[in-house]
Amino acid sequence: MSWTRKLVPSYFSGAVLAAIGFIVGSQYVWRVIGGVNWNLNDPGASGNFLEQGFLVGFILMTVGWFIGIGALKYPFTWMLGMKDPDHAEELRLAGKDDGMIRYFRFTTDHKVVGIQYLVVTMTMLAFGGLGAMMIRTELLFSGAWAFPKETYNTIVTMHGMLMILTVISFFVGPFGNFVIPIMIGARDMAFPRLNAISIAFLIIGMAVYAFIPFMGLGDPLTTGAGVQTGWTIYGTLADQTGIGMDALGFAVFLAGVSSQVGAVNLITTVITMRAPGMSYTRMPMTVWGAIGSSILAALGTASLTVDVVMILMDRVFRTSFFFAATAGDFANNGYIGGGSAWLTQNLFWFFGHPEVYLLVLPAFGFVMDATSVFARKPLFGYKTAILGLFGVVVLSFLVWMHHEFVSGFLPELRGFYMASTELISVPTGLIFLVLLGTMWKGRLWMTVTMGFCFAFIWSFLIGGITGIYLSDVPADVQLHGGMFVTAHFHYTIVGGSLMGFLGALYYWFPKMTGRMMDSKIGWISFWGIQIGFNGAFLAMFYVGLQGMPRRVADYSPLFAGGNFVASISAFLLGASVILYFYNVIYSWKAGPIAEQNPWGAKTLEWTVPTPVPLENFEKIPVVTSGPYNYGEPVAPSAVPVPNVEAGPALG
Amino acid sequence: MNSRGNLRTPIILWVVCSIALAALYLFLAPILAQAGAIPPLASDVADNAYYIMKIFTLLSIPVFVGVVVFAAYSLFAFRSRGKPTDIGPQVHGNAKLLAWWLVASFVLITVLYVIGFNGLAQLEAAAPASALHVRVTAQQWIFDYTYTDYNIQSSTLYLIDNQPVEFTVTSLDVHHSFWIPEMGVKADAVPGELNTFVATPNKLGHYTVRCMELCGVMHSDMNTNVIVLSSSDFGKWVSQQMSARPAGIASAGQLPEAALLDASGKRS
Repeated sequence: MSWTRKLVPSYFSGAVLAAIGFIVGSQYVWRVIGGVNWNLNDPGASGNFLEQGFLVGFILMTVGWFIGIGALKYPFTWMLGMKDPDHAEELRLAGKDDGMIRYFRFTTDHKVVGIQYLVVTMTMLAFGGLGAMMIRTELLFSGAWAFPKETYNTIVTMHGMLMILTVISFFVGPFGNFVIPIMIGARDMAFPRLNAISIAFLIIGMAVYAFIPFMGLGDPLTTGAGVQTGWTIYGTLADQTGIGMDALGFAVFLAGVSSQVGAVNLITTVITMRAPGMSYTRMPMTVWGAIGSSILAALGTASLTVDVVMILMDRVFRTSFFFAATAGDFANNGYIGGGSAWLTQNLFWFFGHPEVYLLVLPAFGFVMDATSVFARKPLFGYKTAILGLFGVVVLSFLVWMHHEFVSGFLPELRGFYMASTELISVPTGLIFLVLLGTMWKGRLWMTVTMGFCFAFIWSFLIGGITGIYLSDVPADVQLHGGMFVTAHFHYTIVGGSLMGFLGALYYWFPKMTGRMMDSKIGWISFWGIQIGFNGAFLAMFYVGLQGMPRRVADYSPLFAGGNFVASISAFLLGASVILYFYNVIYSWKAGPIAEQNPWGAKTLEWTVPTPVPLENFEKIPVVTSGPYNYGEPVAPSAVPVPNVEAGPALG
Repeated sequence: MNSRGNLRTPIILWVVCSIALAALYLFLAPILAQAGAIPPLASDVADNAYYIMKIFTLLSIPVFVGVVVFAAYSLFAFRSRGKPTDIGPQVHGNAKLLAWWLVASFVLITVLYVIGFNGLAQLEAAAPASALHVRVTAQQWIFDYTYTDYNIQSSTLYLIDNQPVEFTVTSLDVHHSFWIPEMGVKADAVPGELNTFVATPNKLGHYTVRCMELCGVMHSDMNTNVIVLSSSDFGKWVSQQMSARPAGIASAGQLPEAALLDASGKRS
């Protein structure tokens, strides 16, 4: 294939058109409409179409990206009533015979999208982790000694938002896309082009996000340089803060679209494309966890999008969604009032709470599957597990006001929200019952993945119990806004989702890359992660109890000891994650070749050869039993397979 | 490792370790509190909050120990050497265990809820008529206090020992949060809204206010002093303030520019 054919359309042509789009959009607004001087470092330029220029630039950058990667061709041909692509063209879109270049373009093959997600989310995780190391450097000693305060606040904001966006996607993106269709016996996702566009939205969203450190950090202190708000972007401070907020808002908007599109795709795929015999009660728990997460993403993300759009409108068009009529400098900036500061809290947390369950549900599902495989036992309560997962899904929409116990908003509702938040520990507890029961009297094979499952149990237990303290209103009054909260949610998100992700990557690495990750390096990185993680966040619980607020660049010497321990431990955690990443990269290139089913698992993805053929199955299997039935007689073959009969070829 | 295992060992371990950990906690908690693990408590609200937290800790100990013991026991008793050559018992669940687990969970959270509800009722009790009224106004990046009973403004918060105080908290610009760690007093300062909190200090001394909601660059520096005085000392301070007040001072609610008054009420 000629080079032009390879590179156009591709991510490279997309990047070129994106850059052109940004330059054209921003320059048009700044020069033609605004007529401002070109020196953006000039304080006089700020506010004078500066934001509008960036936003129009970002919009045209996004449009340019989608045109450049060739994503808009088929929607347009469909709208114009032209012929739909035939099977050969669809195979071409899926990257058939394209070699490595198919990973650098709009490709519909779910396995390619899965690998793209893996690389993108691991890159996001690396940058988020870099932000964490910078935070812990500043907090190593009191006195804001490493970064100026406005820079620190911006780092805190960027670390938080980037990690949230990473964890939203890092399970359902790589594994939801690569593994789940094979797991349910399908040839691809229900909407392959939507799949390709979901990763494209994430990539361009992250490109916009990357602008933030370069926007406004040199601004005068009083306007709040950089982005001072924390990831919760409360509208009051978000309206005021530096120009980076426009990039953050737009990036979050794009990433939100990516998440919702992916969610719809996954739910539809599971409902409509299961192989014959793959009833809902025969699906591996990983699929259920991903569905629960996708339901929350599909329903909840809109609330955040609305919050972000209102913030951008307040900033650019001087609407007043978040300001009641008050005195102070906001009146002087042309805000007319009539809004409500509580509105931003409610809009944010209506999304924000289901959000955190979105983050952990895929890990719940995976850890249950992995425990079953590595204990050689069925799940101790398949329906119990489903009850647990869906109890969490439903209740997660009914608890958000526990983030507002001290806000003064409708205090009479606090009793209800205390009850609902405490109630959500019941379905979560069922997951623990299933896990403990599954490993009981099993044949425990201590792979690195199983290690991460035990780490999950330990960490989520601590995270969950400390969450109960926060659910109690009198205790929360004392603990809200402090480092106790930070330690709690890191125990649940890092200890829950990240441990699940690291275990899942080690587990599915052989199927996705054809090679095994190194076990020795795996265990060393595992222990470094456990010691570093627990050291850092247990110390953080301690300084939280002592009275340290969160998101502070400087702190009283009272908290110096705990912070020092936390920072040193965090550096160990960071180094260990880097070691794990090294294991991934090295093993990808030079690890031992993997057999077809190295773990002896019973789910469908292990019945296909590696590398997985383009259309996954030669013939769609007919499934005759569940994914955990180790006791049923297996077909005599070198590799244990679930009980499937080769059915007729479909399609 | 025998791969049969038994239920008795982990259950005994569970009971013994729970009791031991609870005893250790009860022994260590006052020592750690003295050493600064929690702020020195100085109000009825704080006493209540930490009392509740103590009960929650004692109730969580068996939960925590139970999961850890059973997981660790499984790890030691059922571990296979390398890839397993046979499979475990094909047990799909246990309805009775599930039922008991659910019952125990609901009982536990009901207990937690009742404790919390009681504590909440205390928090929501209205301020008595004799309460001192303080209006807390937050703005980037200071807290300012107005004693609406006396029409006095101060940048240091003076309170009366054993007398209830009702804080009415608001903000002039962005979200802040007014927190006195030692007193368990926390109320978000939300622009355009009034947030009230009632507490009764019960120890003389010097305390600190911290801002608990990220509010911009100087968020970490929004600390002010709190001094709890006896009733007579407070009265002295009030009369000092009222006599030192220059004629024509702005009425309560507006801030004089650069209003930084030191402890004796003089402009610094």
